[in-house]
Amino acid sequence: MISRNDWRLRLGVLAVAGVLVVGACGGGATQAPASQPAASQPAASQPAASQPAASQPAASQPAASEPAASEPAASAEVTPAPVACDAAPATGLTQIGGKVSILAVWTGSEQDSFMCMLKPFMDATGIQVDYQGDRNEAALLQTAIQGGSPPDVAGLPGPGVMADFASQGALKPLDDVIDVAAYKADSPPGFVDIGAADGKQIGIFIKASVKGLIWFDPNVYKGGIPTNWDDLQTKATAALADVPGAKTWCVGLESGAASGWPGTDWIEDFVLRQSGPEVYNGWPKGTTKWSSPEIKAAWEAYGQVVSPDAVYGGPTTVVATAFQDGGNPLFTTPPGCLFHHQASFITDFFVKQGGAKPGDYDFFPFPDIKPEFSGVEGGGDLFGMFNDTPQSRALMQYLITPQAQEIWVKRGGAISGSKSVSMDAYPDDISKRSADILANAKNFVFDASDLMSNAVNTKFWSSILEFTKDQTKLDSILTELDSIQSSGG
Amino acid sequence: MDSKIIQFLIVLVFVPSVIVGYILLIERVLKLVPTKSQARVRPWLWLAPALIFLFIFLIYPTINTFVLSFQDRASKNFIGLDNYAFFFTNGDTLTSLRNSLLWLVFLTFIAVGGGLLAAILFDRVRYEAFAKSLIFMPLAISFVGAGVIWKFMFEYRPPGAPQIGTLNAAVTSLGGEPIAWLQNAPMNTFMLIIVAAWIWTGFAMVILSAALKSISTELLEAARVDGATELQVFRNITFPLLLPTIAVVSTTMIITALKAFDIVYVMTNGAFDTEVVANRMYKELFNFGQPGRASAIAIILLLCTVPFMIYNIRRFRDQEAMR
Repeated sequence: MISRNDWRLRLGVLAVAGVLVVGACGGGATQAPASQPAASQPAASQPAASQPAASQPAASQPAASEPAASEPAASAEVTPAPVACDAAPATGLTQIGGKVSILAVWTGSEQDSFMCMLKPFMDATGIQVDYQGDRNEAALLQTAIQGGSPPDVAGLPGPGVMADFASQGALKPLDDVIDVAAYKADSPPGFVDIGAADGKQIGIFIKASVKGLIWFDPNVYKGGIPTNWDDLQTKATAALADVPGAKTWCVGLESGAASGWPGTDWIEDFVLRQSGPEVYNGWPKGTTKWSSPEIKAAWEAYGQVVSPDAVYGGPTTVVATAFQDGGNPLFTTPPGCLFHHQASFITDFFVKQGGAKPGDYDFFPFPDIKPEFSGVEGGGDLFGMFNDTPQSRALMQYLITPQAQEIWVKRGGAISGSKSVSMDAYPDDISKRSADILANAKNFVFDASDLMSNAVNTKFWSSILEFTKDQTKLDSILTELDSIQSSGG
Repeated sequence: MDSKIIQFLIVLVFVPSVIVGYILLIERVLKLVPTKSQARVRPWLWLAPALIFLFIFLIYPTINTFVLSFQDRASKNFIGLDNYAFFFTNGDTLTSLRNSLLWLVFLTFIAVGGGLLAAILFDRVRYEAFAKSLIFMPLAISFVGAGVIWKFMFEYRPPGAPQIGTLNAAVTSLGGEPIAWLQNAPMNTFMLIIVAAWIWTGFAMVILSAALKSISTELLEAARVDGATELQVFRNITFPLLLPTIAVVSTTMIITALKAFDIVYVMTNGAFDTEVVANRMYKELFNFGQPGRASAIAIILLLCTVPFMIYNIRRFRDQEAMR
């Protein structure tokens, strides 16, 4: 039998136990936020690696590597927001009414620009836009499609994912929605084809970006724009005579868990210009082997760039330098190098970390190697249609018009694939000239590493590091990349 | 804010009341059981919630990982030992295995050896508490934080350029050439191990120091009276008495070394031949989408730690038996 005293004792013990449990839980709860930054930081610095689809942002856009990228809070749902924008009323649109839902990756000022782009459309058609912007859009979209309720229209993480969605039947072909022939005529060759899968037009570009720009300090390098790759070498040798101790190139490959990616842009630029778009486009698909002479030649050309007598500090410095700091020796006294190869976002780091003032830096496009394979490598934001409604059809038709494209261009931060967008619309010199490069490109190819599977891409990054440190390993590196690619990555 | 308060109330009221309710319930149920077997049934009923949680969060995942390790990428078809074969034939994974062994040997050796040295040397100095706190402090820093700090320490700039890394600044000010600590194999693996040892030496020191204090002074004094030198006292009395503690600390370090992930992930992500098994496991699962291979690595890691755990448990039982 249990006496009363016993019961009291037991309840007392239970009470203590309860308090301990609460204490433990409470402790856990308060600790969690403290440990979160640590846990989320590495993940955030490497969204590329953890999100197969969105492999581009982390690598090429420093903004995406900020912790904000992984915060679910970066989500915003808006009904037509009153954005201050001076877009001219749209012409040639008929009143339809109804609603269209859009899911895309843009938030903040990018979202404002996109909403501004939509304003004339909404005014003219009476269609209400239900926009949701989220940095983690790729995962949201995947879930929405699996749940059977995708948005009417959405941004697509990349051409590879686009093709997947198209083969599942989730994305609707646009061949009878937009005038594909006219769209192609208005864009650089190869540009529109990136939005095609299985012979059907699936995606359209809202905006584009140009990669493979070569940056220099006009106070140091005064040789002018090289006509081709050999001319660049000649001009560099001439310029180096006046800058004792400097080397031709500056390269920085370190990028946390994604270290090595700046080198992939190098290889891609060489493949395109040495061997042409056909070899280039077959490469992420696996029809061009890594060990093929064409790809090997590109690696060897890159090897010359990072050889001890051509690159600032030698290969060790290349692998140990953060990509943000890569171009800084352009601006030191005396200068450490003449050229730095990077997409246009790097100017932000020139100013903030390299101590450069606007006017200290300028660029020219990656020079041709073979004239017949002149082209440009870039990226862009694809849009696709998931629900075939009159409203989403009207929206897709509207989005590729030069009038619509020009709105974002004017607000800055976007380059349009449309040749009809006036060059005067670009607010600054760099974007104007990038647009010029895109408009006059004989070939447009999409960043190949972004089209590769995550396993191949990650191995590509680490192979760049390995090769930069020890160029004798090239054959075994390429064989290994082949075996990863053929095993389905 | 409101949801936080509700959450708090749930934790404060709901969780304890469920526990109390459960106990009252089983005590009532127990009354229906014959008094004789009550004593036998009661502990199991009291333990049941803990056992259920243990099963859901520990045993079930282990079994599932084991099953997954024999399955293909889609986790649908069984493919026999292919995932294990991959681990033992692929160049990258073999490098990770070799490095994990280096971690195991050197982290254990440096942390336990350093901790022992510190515990003994600081035992009789006047600033013992202060000196020990200094060594213990890094333990409070997260691995990711330590990785970032040491990355700055190891920073490399080409010869001639101003060195912003502490180590290279020191090396160059003494007239040497800067060294790429994290990029040159095989040195870089040892540099990473040093970061881990920097954190864990304090832990080893505190445990060993506590064991040292528990050795009775009579024993040591008797030896000294008999004319033993300090070294002899250490070798013949202190060390043998510390041995069980050293074994426990070493096992902990060995398991820590096998689990090593954060430091490698933050500082090199396995580049330049610094890969370790745990980081490889992470890559297989989250970068390459290979749950089968990742599970195989997890099982291999588990099998590696089992002997040390068994050793630890045996030792513990022996000690219990001696009492």
